[in-house]
Amino acid sequence: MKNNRTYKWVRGLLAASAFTSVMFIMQACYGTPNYRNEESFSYEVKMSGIVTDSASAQPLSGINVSTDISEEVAVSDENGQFCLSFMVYSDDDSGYNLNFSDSLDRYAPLDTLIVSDFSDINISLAAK
Amino acid sequence: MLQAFHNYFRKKETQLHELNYLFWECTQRCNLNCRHCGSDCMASSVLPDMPFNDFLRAIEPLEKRYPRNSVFVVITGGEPLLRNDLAECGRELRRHGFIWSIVTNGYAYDAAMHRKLMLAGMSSITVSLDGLRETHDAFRKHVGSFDRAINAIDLIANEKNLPTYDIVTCVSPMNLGQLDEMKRMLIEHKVKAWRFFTIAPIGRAATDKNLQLDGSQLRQLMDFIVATRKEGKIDAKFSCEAYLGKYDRKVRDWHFFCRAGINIGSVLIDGSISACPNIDRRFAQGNIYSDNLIDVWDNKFEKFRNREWARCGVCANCREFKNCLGGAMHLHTVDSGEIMECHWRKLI
Repeated sequence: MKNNRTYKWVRGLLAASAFTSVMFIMQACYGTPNYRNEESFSYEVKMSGIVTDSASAQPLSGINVSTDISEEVAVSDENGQFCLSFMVYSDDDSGYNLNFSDSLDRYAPLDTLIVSDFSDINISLAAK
Repeated sequence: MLQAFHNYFRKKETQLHELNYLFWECTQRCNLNCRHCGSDCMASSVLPDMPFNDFLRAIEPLEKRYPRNSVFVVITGGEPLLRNDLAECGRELRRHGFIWSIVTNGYAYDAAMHRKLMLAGMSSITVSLDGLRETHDAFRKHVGSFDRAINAIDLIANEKNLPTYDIVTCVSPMNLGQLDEMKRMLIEHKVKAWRFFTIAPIGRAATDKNLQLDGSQLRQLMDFIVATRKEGKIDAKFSCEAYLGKYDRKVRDWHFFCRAGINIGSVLIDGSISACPNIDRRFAQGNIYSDNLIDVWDNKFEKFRNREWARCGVCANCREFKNCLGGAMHLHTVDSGEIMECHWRKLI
C-alpha cells in the first residue's frame, strides 16, 4: 500500500514533467483521444417568461416549453409563466431554439430562436 | 534503457490499475455496414440499446472513488449517433463528473448534432475516414458516406471549444496508396490529428483476407507515418494496437502498452464488463446486471493484468516478449493464447 502511494507520488511528478508526460497520454486503440480538465467549463442556462393568447393577451397555462438541445421541459403556470433551465458545457452564445406546444392542442406550436434576454421572453400563441 | 524504464512503468501501472478510460457500448445498431468493421454490428441489433440509467447506476461507484473529471467515458457502438438521447446521456455524465466522447462514422453528424453534443459537454471525438471518396464509400458500402464524413470533419476541425479529436484511418491494401493524397486533403481541411490502424482479422473483417497488409505494405505505412511526423503539419500516429520494435517510438509518442483491463474497462451492450469492445467477448469478467463494476475491476481481470498466458505459439521463445507481453488483447481469443498476427514479425 505504502509502495503504491510512493509510486503515485512519483507518477504525479512524471506526469507533470514535459519529458515524461507522454507516458500518461492514454488512448485505447479503438477509442478517442483522452482529455482531462479539472476545471471544465459549465453553466446553467435559465430561460423564463410569459406565454399569452395572441388575440386576448390572456396568460396561457399548460404550454410545454422545450429546447432542441436538452430533454428538459417546462410547463407554463396559471399566470402563463414558465422557467426552463438546463446545463451547458460549451461557451456558445448563438442562442437557443425554444419550442412552445400546447398539451391540449388548442394553440398552434411555435419555434423561435432566443439569442438574448433569457429572463424576459414574451411569447404569444395563436389559437388553431 | 528507455524501454526498460517503460517496462518498469508498465509493471507499476498494472499493479495500480486505476480505471480511467471506460467504453460504453450504448447500441449495436449502425447506419452503415462497413466491410472491415471489427464490431460486427448491424442495422437492427438483436440486443436493444442499453438504457442510460442502467449504465449510470453501474458507474456510480467510480464517481465515488475517483476525482471529478478523471474518468473518461468513450461512447461507442454500433453508431452512437443513432441514439436519440445521446446528448442527454452526455449531459448527465458531465453532471456526474465524467468526461465523455464518441467514436462515429460521421454519417449522421450534422451541424445541429454537433452543437447539441458540444453544449452537452463532449470533450473528444473520433471520426473514421478510410480513403478518398470512392474507396471510403466502397469500404462503407454506401455512396455519400465520404461526403458526410468530411462534413463532420469540417465541423469538428473548426470547433474552437472542442478540446481534442482525431481522424482514424484503417489502412488496407486498398487505401495504402492514397495516404499522401489523404494527408494533403486533411491538412487542407485543418485537421490536426490523424491516427492509423491496420485491420485486425476480427469481426466482419475476419473472413476478408484482402484487407490485411503484408510485411512490405506495413513497412510502407510505418515509413509514411515517420515521414509525416517529421513534416509536423499533422499529428500522425499509429494506434496502440501492436508492438512495432524499432518503429515503436517513431510512429507514436510512447512505447506500446496495451492498457486493456489495466486502465481501460468497458460496459458492453448486454451489460458485460470487459475492456476494449473489440476484445473477444468471452474475456468478459462480469456483468453490471449481476455484479458490482468496481468489485469486478478490483478483484478480477487477472488475465488482462498478467499476460504470461500469452507466452505461447510464436511468442513462446520470442526475445521481444518482455516488451510486448504478447501484444494487444484484441488479437487473442480465449480458445488459444496465441496471437492472431504479430506486427513486429511482419516488420522484420
